[in-house]
Amino acid sequence: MANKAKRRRPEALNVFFGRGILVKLCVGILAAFFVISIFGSWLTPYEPTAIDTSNTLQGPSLAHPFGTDALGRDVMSRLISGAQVSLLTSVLSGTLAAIIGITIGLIAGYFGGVINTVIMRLVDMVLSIPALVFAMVIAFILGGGVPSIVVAIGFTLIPTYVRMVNGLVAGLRENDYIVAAQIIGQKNRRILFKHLFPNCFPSLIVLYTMNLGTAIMMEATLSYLGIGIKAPQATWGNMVSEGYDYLLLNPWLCFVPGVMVILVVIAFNVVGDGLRDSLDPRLRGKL
Amino acid sequence: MTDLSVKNSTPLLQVEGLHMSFPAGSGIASKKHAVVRAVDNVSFTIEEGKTFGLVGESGCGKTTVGKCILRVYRATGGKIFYMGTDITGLPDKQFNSFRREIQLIFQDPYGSLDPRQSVYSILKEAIVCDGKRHSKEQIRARVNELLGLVELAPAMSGRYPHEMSGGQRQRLGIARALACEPKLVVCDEPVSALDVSIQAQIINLFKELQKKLGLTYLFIAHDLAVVRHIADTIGVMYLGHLVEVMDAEKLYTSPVHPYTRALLSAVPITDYDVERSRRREVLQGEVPSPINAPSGCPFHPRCKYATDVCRQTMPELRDMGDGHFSACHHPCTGAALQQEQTAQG
Ligand SMILES: Nc1ncnc2c1ncn2[C@@H]1O[C@H](COP(=O)(O)OP(=O)(O)O)[C@@H](O)[C@H]1O
Ligand code: SF4
Ligand SMILES: [Mg+2]
Repeated sequence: MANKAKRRRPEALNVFFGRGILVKLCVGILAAFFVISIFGSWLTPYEPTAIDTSNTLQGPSLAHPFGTDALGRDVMSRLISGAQVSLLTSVLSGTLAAIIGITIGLIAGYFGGVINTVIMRLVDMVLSIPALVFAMVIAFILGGGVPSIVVAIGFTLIPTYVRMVNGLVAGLRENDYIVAAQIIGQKNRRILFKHLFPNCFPSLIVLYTMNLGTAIMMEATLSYLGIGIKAPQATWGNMVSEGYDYLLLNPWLCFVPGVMVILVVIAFNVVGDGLRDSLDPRLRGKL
Repeated sequence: MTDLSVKNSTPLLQVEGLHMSFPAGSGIASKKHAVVRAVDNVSFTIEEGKTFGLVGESGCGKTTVGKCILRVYRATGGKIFYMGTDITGLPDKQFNSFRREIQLIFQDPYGSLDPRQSVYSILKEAIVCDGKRHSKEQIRARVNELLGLVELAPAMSGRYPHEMSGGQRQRLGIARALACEPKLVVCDEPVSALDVSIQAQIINLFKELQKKLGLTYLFIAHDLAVVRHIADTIGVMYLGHLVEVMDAEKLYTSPVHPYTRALLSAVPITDYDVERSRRREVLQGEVPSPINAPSGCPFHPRCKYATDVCRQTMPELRDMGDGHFSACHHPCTGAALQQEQTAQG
């Protein structure tokens, strides 16, 4: 009984991995994705943008495991470089959205009233626009490139955090422990960050994880459409788009980056789902 | 309204004609007009070091009275004097100097504790919220002192609320309140969520703490059995109104309000003679909704003594002598009772 606190972490892990092979597989995919992205610069066998006109549109071989593209660039090196872009944009945009969205949501939810109503109306408005269209417009206005894509996707994701935090806080605010904190003379700001935020945290981790998947999907789509990150920088999205022209000649060019996007996005969602179950105290073993 | 205090020294708490209405329902149509009159013209006084027991069925407004005193709710009418200062109209800044002196013990100890904070962290928060500087050692020592006061082992400080029993959680809730060095503690049904075997322990703890620290209690309960052990004065509430106030000692002999008498019937008495001679009064019917409160005496739909005057005019809280007040047109005084008994044969 006394060591319950120490047991809590493994217990959550048990629930997490107890969900079966799929979760383990997806954790593996994400682990590989992170390792490859982070150490990518040392892993690329060739310079991802190095053109080799004598070796265009090659099939898979020992020298080029995923072949080469129309300009003779090594597809594997470009995939790794693309993974770096995906991770960078998704983490940056996800974090940007989380910081802004959580702050707005906490303040709106805790103080309620008119501010809350106005903010939630705005959020509903933004959420009624398809996320991709919203991101496209911002990306178009700001022009391509990593910073503008981060801002475009980040702003698109902000309302998801505002809405979730607002809902959570509206529920948590009614709790007696919030009243208790007020009565002992705790400051509002401290109540927000000491009591409300930590109790929102598990749900936010889940949302953050899933939003990483969404961000990768969006970045790929924007790059595919040509308003995201531009050539010669390789991204999974523009690789699919470039490969599309040679779909019949060399289907690898299109499918491999496409499959990467799908795998990583699904993995983020499965892991997010698993986290939801393992972090929910109601599903965790009770004393 | 009659002045309930005839003492020269200022009482610690004086509630005068307290009103608290909430907007009823969420429907757009009903929003403008209907209100829940949760507390309606409630007045009482608590002397320093004493315990005022507030009793009544669930939903009669006891918690609301407590939360108005704590300024969790801003009273919609009436005045609350704390040590002679009217705290109802006080701006937040000025109220802050009283903030920690009035504390609350919750009905549901588990809900009142942040599930993600350890015992130590919960108590530390309450200690450091006074805005003064505290060294780590001072906090540690104070935490241990507080745990000692509520009879929890120092080893508990690493625990989390879900690792504690109901009684231990309530002790922690009490320790947190004590960390603020309160003068007045509002105890909102502090034992009703606990096992019967634990209830007596916690009540005794409240009594000891009162003796040790000179605390003043507003002790809320939904039945008389609990408050009669701890209260000096008992106030009975019905549907937002205070209907009777009397000394706790006179509880069995003097109540004259039909509602108090009915509540009392539900309390088992160990004294055989008293038990045999007393008359059982069983409450009939439901508590009416505070949204459409009955006209006249709020108790009249359930009162067997009700007459036309009860249905039309609200009875005032009247002085029956000896600090006993009752709001009833036909108080069941000795003479009235005898008359009734002879009539029944
Ligand atoms: N925050 C609130 N908003 C609206 N109605 C409330 C609120 N708090 C209490 N009430 C109403 O006021 C009445 C008295 O409630 P309460 O003081 O909690 O009673 P008790 O503590 O005696 O059980 C009830 O009818 C309840 O529905
Ligand atoms: S005033 Fe009338 S209705 Fe109300 S309690 Fe007294 S006798 Fe009953
Ligand atoms: Mg209550």
